[in-house]
Amino acid sequence: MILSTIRTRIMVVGLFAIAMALAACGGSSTGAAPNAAPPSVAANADIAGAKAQLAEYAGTFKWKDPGPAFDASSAKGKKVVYIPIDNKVPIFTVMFAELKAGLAKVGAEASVCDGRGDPNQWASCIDDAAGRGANVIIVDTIPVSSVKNSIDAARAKGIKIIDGNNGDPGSVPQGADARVSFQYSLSGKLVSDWIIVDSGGNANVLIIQSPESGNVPDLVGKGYQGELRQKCPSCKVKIVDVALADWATKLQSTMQAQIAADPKIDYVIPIYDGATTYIVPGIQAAGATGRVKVATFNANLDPMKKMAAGKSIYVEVGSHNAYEGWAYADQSLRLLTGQQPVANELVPARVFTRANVGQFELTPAAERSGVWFGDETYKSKFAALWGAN
Amino acid sequence: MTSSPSEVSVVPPQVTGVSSPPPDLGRPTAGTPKPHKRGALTWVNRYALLIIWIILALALAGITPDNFLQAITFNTIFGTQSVLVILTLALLLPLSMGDFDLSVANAMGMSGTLMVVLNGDKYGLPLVVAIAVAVGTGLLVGAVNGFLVVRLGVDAIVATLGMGTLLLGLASWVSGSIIQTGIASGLTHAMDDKLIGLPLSFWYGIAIAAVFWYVLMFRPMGRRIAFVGQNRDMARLSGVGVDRLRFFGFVGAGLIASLAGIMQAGQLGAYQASSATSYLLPTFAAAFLGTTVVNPGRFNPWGSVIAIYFLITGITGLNLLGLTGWVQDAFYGAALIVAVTLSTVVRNRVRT
Repeated sequence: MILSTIRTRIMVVGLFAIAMALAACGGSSTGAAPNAAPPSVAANADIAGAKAQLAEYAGTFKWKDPGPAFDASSAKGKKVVYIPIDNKVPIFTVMFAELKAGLAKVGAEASVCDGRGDPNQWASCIDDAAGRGANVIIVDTIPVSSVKNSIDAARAKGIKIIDGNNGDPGSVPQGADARVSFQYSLSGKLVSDWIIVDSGGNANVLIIQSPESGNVPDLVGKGYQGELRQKCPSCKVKIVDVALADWATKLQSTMQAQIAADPKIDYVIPIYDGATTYIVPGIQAAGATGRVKVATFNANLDPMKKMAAGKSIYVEVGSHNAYEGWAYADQSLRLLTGQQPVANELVPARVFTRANVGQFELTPAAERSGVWFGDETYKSKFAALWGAN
Repeated sequence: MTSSPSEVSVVPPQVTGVSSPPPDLGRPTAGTPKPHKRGALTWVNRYALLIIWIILALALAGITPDNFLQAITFNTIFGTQSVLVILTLALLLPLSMGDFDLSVANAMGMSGTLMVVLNGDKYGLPLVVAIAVAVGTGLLVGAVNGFLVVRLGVDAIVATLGMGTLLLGLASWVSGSIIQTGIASGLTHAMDDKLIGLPLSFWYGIAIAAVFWYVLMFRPMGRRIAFVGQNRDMARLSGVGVDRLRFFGFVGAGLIASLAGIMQAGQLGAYQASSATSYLLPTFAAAFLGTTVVNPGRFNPWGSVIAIYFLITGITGLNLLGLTGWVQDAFYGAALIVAVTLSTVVRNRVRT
């Protein structure tokens, strides 16, 4: 009886040890092991073109007037209501604060109504704004079609609608009067450009997207996927879907499973960098740290810190959130004073890589201020456009 | 709403030897009221939330009169979340009998998705067809829930949780995981046209609450539902058709949840399948918060209605004050905890 107990215990300990050994063998060092040999360059890849585009967005942005100057003084006292999809997402707080500051230059007012991630609440915010005499309503990352009835009712009262961040600038969805957004397809292309250059045109890429996001056709279709197809015919591209609501529960296991299914994957593009919270541990658990590089979009603080610390992320293309707040103000003022809205507010994008991330102060305050993209002279440039200096 | 002689008539005479109060299950039931002292404390216990709501409204009017005291505020508070009212009423049916139904929110989601997919830009089928399919699906969902829980004895939480998740998956599949758009303008008008300044959807919610109240208070079936909720075994021994009532509780929940989906589709003119899941917790919050007022200790329709509009008043006020994001969640959760705790404490004090 004692013998069998001891034997059982030895067996258990032995199995445990084997399991530990396997796990240790499977995982590799946490340091970023560079590729053993430089990648062979594919002849059909447009590496020069990719490099050129990357270079254009590698530094601080240069101001360019998004539209003609105009007199914004008649917008004094007018009201703009900002409705984000869910105000718990920090970038919206930044955008609203800057929108308010910008409008204050000409004496216009801004208020915010929290969408709480609930379509009924979005509609409620729009109806409420319309009933309180708003002159412009901004819906940020809320698909206009999902609140069509409320939008139509607001427009019937003469209220102007700005669609925010639902797709590339330049195309205004039906129901809205103007658009302000990140340069999605450009940003997606920059991410892929980096992969093309880094791999010498021979990448095996996995894109993880969330199909319900409105900017997928531009960011993923024209951006990530489109650029790879155009400039890198030898690159292999696979796309998998994980809904935003399932990120916490499904992303990590999806990452592991995909790597296990195709060990040749060497680049992963999660649609937004918020996914890296789950993607990076997934890569680690699959024992692929150092072999799989993460390239993504948004340049939020935590992923930027991971990149600076050498954890799986190699490139981040970010957009200037604070600038976008002023861009919202610019677009609003144009609509308030009867001007033509601007097609593209030129919200700056910048490519951050392991090479240059070290020079930035990676703190919440620095992230909010937009100092990673350039200095604050754009604010006075906007004010000059409005005749408000 | 206090004890009345007609309640006793439901119970066969041989079981009426109930001279002491029925057992306290320690959680809200739809049971017969316990004998208690009358007095100011009782009255406060009954209407505390209502009083707090009025105080909240007065405070908001005082802090930000220009914003709060506008006609639009009334509409924002009362006219925009009728879906939540109807969904909470759907939940009340099985909940009153002690059955947790965690699938109501996604049943609403399935119904709304079907409405927009069938009647909207994708297929453009007649409104009647879409409504019939949506309602039929709700009934089917309720029937399956009822069969699993009542007939087979599967734990209600597990069965309905599974059903809810299954419905989410099916709705995502039907809609291709993207927002579907388009709905007949007739339905939109039926929801949004105004009656005495408030949209019809608000009045539908009130009407359904009134029907619930009438049945639960004055009809024998309501008495039986209350009895089942209070003590299932005793009800069965008394000859009440417990299983049949519970089954219809689930079917009713599925049906009313599908009506909520139809309403939401009409209001929004579009539907995203995954958006319905977030309604589950607020619905339970409203149902439990509703037990603190009007009929303390019992799930009741008017209590739920008051609870919902109290919470919305708070959220609206926070928006007007520019307080967004985490503050609103904190308010929601804190309100529930504080209200239910206070109600429990006062109820215990009243009884002793």
